[in-house]
Amino acid sequence: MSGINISEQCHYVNLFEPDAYSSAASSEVFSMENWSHATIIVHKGAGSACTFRLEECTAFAGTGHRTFLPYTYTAESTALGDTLSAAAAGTTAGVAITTGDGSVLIFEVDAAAMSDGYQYMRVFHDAATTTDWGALAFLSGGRYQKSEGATAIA
Amino acid sequence: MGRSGFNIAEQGHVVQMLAPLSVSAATSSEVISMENWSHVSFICMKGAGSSATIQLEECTSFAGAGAATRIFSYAREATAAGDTLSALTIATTAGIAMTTASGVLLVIEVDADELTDGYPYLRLKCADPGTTHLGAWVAILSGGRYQEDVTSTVIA
Repeated sequence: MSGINISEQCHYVNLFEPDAYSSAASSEVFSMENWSHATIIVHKGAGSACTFRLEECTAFAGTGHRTFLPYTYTAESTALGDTLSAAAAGTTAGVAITTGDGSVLIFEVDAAAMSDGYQYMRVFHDAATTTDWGALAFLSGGRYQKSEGATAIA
Repeated sequence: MGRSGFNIAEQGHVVQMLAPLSVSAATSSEVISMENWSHVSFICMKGAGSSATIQLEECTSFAGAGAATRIFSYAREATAAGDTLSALTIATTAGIAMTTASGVLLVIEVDADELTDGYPYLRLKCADPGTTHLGAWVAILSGGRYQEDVTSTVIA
């Protein structure tokens, strides 16, 4: 394999731009309608731990949102490390990212696992004290794939 | 990558090049080794604040020895909160500027076989942005030589 050219073979969605977050919020909603897999990467800088969970919904507006299962996750809890844990099954409670500056949390979601009629997804976080982090999604296995992919957020 | 998609955690390798940070001075990222990977995609995300010019450097060690700027291919989303990248374009060694909009993103694509002989290490850097901006950079390596579900470090 010569590797994956992410800009042409995947589609990215900026879920949470890098910022200091201090209150719970939901991300941009994206559609899995034309994609078979999503990888969501949460990367954290300085600040407190917080918990992330996935929600599926029926519209871009977040209509009918409910906690999503099943998904797997991996994490790098060591500050500035780059060796992820083995994939583990997530629960409805979500997954906490540690306080380590430079820690990473990755969710893997197959579109086939989503409920009928719930083809939209978003990420919810419960940050209560100021924490620097950002999150983005990579969609892959596209149905109609071109070098410049169509939007998945509108 | 098959029809079922790209499971990045197991089929790729993720490195946090620059943890989310308020960038207010010239900054260099973590150094990665491309020795056992055929491709890397760097994702540079920007939040609120000034523009920043991103450059790519190849070097001869993890310490950044012999760092030399490289040309690279990039795609960009310059519209705030958009998700449609531009077509891939070649950047010069001077690098590429991210716009001042909040929520923009730059993707840099590098094949290991483009690197200069003896320079298997890569890092990103940005010049002093003048005023603060929020930035975060991630690398996703793919096409591993010895690939397992839990991949080995590329930063030491």
